[in-house]
Amino acid sequence: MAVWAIGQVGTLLFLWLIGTLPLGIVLLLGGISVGASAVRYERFRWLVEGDALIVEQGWLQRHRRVIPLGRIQSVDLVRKLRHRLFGVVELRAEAVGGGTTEGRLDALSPMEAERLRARLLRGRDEARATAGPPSPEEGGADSAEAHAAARERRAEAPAPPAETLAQMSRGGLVVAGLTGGRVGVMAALLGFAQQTFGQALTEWMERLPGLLGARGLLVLVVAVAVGAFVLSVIATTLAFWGFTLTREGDNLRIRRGLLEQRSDTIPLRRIQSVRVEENMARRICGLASVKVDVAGRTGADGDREVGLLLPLGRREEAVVLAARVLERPELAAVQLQPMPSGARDRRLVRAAVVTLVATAAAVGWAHAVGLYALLLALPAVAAAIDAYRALGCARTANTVVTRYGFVVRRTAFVPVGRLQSLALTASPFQRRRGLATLELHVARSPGVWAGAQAVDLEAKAGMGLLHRLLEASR
Amino acid sequence: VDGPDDSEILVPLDRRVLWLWWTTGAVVVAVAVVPVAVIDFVARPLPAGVLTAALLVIGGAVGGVLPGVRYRRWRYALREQDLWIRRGVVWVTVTVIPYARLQFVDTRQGPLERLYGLAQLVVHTAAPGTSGRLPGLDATQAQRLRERLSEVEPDAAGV
Repeated sequence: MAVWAIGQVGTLLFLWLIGTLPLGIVLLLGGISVGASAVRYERFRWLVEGDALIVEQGWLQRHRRVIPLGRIQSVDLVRKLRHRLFGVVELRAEAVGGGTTEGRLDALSPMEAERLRARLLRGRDEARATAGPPSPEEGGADSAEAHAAARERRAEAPAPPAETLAQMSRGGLVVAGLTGGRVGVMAALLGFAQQTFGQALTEWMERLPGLLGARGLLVLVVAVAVGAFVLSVIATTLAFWGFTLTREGDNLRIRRGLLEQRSDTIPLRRIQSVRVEENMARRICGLASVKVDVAGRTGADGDREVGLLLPLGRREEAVVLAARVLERPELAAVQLQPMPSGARDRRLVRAAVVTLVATAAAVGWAHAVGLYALLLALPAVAAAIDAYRALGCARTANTVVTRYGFVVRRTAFVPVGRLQSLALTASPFQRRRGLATLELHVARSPGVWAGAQAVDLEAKAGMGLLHRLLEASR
Repeated sequence: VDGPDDSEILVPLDRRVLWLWWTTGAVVVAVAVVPVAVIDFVARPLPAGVLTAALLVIGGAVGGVLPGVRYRRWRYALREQDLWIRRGVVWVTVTVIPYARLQFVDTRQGPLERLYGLAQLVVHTAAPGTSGRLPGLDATQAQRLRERLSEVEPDAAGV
């Protein structure tokens, strides 16, 4: 109850602090929200009965929700600051379908939460085992084996020991913050300040150059940049403090967080594909992160980090981890085939076009001095060759590996049994060189990235690969 | 980038879809011509009538030729276990969707499609944004296909 009240009172206090609400109204609304929380607490009941989790709540209108354990996909434990204040844990049970968390128990004692989590996961596995195949959770050639293996494992060891797959050191977190994409946090904060203080801030910013002079402005820009990095390190440290990835039986479990502690569970059999990501800064240092695609995962609270298996590690470690998560250790040593030379020529042509257009614009603007823009050819060609080297594709007995990307290089590991559909695409430029791009469609959260693609394959080879994958995915 | 197999033949869409696309193009041009004509004859940025004529000529040319190219490119094959779709004027794409991966199958029919007795067949897999679409099927054939595809036993790959 106190957790709910704090959640609402916190918002009110904030509104009061920034001066949009007078104190009287804050106290009144605060009282109402404490009262409402008390009523809500009185009417909130849950229990596990048979093979279902039942949650009852509601004041005027009673609401009863029955979640069959077999439908539960994952069980997460979350401890936000307000939970830690009272030493409790929030439990979230996610079921198939729906855009929200289906079963949400806001405050449990940590012991009780752990017990309930184990109970729900066990109940889920049992419900599925008795339901037997053809469960929609299984697919491809490896399903029967996986099922049998899972059953065996359950029979041998009711409480499987946890095996640690990855951990983050404090130094690693700092490096992750420095090289990560979280530098954008600063921009977001600035945008927020702009919205809150509005016109005043804009006017103040416009007067800045006059106030500070050229040198002052430079100092300000440097300070903002340094501030962005510092904020990024802080945000990363808060989110990933004590990051530990363990394997417990058929589930991966991720624990992380300093203020808000999270414990996420990802069933291994729900993993659709795994990818190793290296942005430019990390590539130079030989570092990478590992992410998984899990179907239909809503990522409660819009948290995009749910599928992150390793915030940062050495590239080789990242690849080994990806292979272990897919239970295909041979993938760690897989060698990618380079794409045909036409793919390199395309990128060189692009570099030349970019350089020439930039030079033409520069000459039009600054006349003969603009010819110096031709020097752009050096970085452009280097980038083209790097982008070509990023391209690669390999196929093992039951997995396809593709790699592409210049700004962020992504190596995707896609089990053939997970393929939903395939597409071969060719632009006019690709057709002229006899190239094509093979897209591998798997079930994943929408919009995060374009998905696994073998870019600029030889068109004939691409069609052949498509046919073979189609055969193999049956 | 072309067919599933040399032995398999990709079939074209129903010819009536050409008329559907031509009609759609004519409607778009007709809607666009009103504001352009107002600007043309009231504000007169150029000699009166030039903008309108240009729009009609270009719109007519694109709307007349593009459907033909699209029609020739857009082909499909319903094989024993999978659906092949080839489409695209600039980017040519061949999509293959195994029936076993289908989550659901829709038919859609807009007012213009009803006019020509056509319907669209849209199939969805669990992968986001990769639905397969077949415009311009005979309406009754589309119905039959939907029923046939809905009957396929799904074994959706580990969703």
